[in-house]
Amino acid sequence: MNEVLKAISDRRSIRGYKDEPLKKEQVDALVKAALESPSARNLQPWHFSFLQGRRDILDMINEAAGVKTDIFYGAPLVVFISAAKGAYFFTPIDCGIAVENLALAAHSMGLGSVILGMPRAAFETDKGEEICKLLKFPEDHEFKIAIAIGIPTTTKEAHPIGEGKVDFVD
Amino acid sequence: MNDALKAIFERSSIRQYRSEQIKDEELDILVKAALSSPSTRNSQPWHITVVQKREVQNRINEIINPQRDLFYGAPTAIIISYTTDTAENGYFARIDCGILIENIAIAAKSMGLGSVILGMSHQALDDIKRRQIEELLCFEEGYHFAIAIAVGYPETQNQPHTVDENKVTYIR
Repeated sequence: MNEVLKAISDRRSIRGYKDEPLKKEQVDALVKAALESPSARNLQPWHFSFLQGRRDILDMINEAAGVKTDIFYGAPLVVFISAAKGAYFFTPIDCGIAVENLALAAHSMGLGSVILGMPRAAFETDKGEEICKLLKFPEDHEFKIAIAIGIPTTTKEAHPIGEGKVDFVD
Repeated sequence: MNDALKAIFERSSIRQYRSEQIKDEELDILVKAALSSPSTRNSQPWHITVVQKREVQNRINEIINPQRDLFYGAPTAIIISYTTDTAENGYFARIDCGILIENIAIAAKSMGLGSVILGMSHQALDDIKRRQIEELLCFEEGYHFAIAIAVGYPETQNQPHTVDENKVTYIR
């Protein structure tokens, strides 16, 4: 198994992080991995908000989402992916492509990550608009998905894989 | 630069392939990479349909657009369908399919295979054509086309696309 396949196979959702910021080279590599993601018609419909060391904003999102725990697990970096509101079919798929590039890039550098849909609840409250502004989402953009990244303090087993999800049509 | 970053940075959409089929072991690896993808609450809302028969690809082309080969001559097509029957009514299911398709693309690149992610003219199809595709590919009840990827031995190497640095904001 080559190193890349190993990264894909070994990647886990990490829910415990050291309170230590990422190095600049690591952030640069993550930015590059995100921006170089493929997208439908190469529209690159996304916007990436790299949030580092802003516990105040993360606390606001936790509170608006109505959770008692930290949905970001104390990670020093959270990347919020936003895209234009509207119904283009492939935009969520493109955002999924980008977030997985971030997850793989993070893992390859010895970092952990966890992909987060839970922040969505915060954006549906009356605090949503303010949070969009704090995260510097472009005007017509809405939250799609996020990923927390940092030095992991925990690990876990691979998730079980459901049966019967593959067909061969000949 | 580690190998995974290299694969991510150097991956590009390949639109010219050798006719030679990929090896079974290579296909197994791609399917394994796909199945190990993360998904909302590990719901794995996808289904993977592998097509390695030219006749089936031709039939798909006939239905969608007889003027061109959607698969660019690639010998393998992996088609992802998804269900909206999830706790979030499928809101995240397509994001999950994007996660999966990129795992396939990066896994392919790491083995020297080429790939191109395909929308299969999904937006342009009417309901009749969509249903024909779903039947041809034996999609399960409640599963609809999400995304696809063509894979094979590349005849060309594209330059990766230019990136728009304006799409990043730092908040510190």
